[in-house]
Amino acid sequence: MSTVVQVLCVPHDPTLPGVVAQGAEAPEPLKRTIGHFDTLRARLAAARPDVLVAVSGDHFNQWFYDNMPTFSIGKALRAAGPFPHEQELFGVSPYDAALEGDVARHLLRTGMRRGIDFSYSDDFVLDHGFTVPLNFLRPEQDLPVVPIFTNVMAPPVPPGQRFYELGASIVEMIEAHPADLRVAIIASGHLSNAIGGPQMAQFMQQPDNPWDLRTWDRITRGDTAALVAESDYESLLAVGSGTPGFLDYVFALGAVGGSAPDYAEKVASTFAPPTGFLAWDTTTLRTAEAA
Amino acid sequence: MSLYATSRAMWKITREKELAERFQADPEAVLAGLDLTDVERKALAESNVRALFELGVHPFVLYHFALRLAGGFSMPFIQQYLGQLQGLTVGDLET
Repeated sequence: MSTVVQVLCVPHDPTLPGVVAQGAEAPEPLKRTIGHFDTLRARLAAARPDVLVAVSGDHFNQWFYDNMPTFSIGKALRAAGPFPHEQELFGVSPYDAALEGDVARHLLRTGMRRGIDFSYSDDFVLDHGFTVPLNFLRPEQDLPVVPIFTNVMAPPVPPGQRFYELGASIVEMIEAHPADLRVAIIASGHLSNAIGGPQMAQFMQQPDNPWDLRTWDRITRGDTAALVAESDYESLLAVGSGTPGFLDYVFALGAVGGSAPDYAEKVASTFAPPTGFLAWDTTTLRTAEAA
Repeated sequence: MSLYATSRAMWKITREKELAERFQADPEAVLAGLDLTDVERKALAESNVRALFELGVHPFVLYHFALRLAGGFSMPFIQQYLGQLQGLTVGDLET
C-alpha cells in the first residue's frame, strides 16, 4: 500500500524565478516568498517521497479551445516543460523529470471505476504552473512526477466541491496502489489575482483583499466546509479573473479532509499578487485520526 | 462572431516567435485567409488590446499575445497594457 506523506500548496507565478535572479536587490516581501519555497523544499526532501503528484491548471499553453479537458492525467515517458514561448516571455527555466507511468495509469483506471473520467495524454508539455513549483521544490529533477491537469481557466469549470472530492479520491486511489510508495502531492495554484484582466494591478492598491483575508482565516482554522461550498468559478472570477486558480488549493483541501495545515505562510504586498504556502504532514494527520 | 478564430490566431502568434515577427511586419498578410469578421480583423491587425478584450477574448490569451508583441514581461509593459483596459470589466468568458 502506498502512502501520501505530504500535501503542499504553493504558487506558480512565472515572475518568481526572476526574483531569485535579483538576489539581494529583490523587494523584501518577494524574498520572503522565495524563503517559503526554500522551507518547503527542505520539508519535502525530509519527507523522502518516491513520487510527486503535481496538480495545476494549464494557462492556454498545453490545452486550448479545440480540446479542453476538465481533469487530465499526463502519462508520457517524461514530465517536462515549460513551453519555449514561456521561457522566452518570462525567463522561466526548463524542468525534465521521469514520469511515474504506473501510478498515472493506476489513477486513470481506478478513477474510471469510481466515476471519474479523466482525460489522458501521452504527448504534452507541462506549463509554468507545474515547472515553477517543481523547480523550486525539487530542483534535482530526480523524482518521478505524475501531472494532473485541471481546467481552472476556460469555463465551464466544475464547482469547488468537485475539486475537493477529486483531492479526496486521489488520496484513496494512491493508498490503494499495491506498491509501497511514499507520495507527495503538490497543488499549484494561488489566492486572488487578475492576471491579464483590467484589475491585474489591484494588489498594488489593496495587497490583502477581503476575500484573501477571509479565505486564509478559514483555511488556517480548518473551517473549510463553507469555503469549499462557496468556491465556484463565478464567485472566484468576481474576486479577480485568475482567482479560479484557487480551485487547485481546494483540491488539496480535499486531500487532507479539510483539516488545518501545520504550515501556513501568506505574503501580501504591493509587489506581486498574494502568495499562499500551505503544508500538511499527512502521516501525523492519520495518526491523529486513529487516536 | 468568430471568437475562436480570433483567439486561435493570437494563440499561434504567442507561441511562434517567427510568426509574431511576420505579424508585426505585415499583420494583414498573416491574417489573410482566416475566417474573421471585419471588426475582428481590424482589432487584430491593430493589436488593439482594448477592442480584443471587448470582443470577448479571454484575458489570459490577450495577456500572452500582448506579452509576445512586447517581447516579454516587464513592469512598464504591465502599465502600458493595463492603460488600454482601463474602465473595463470581465464579462462572461464561456465560449
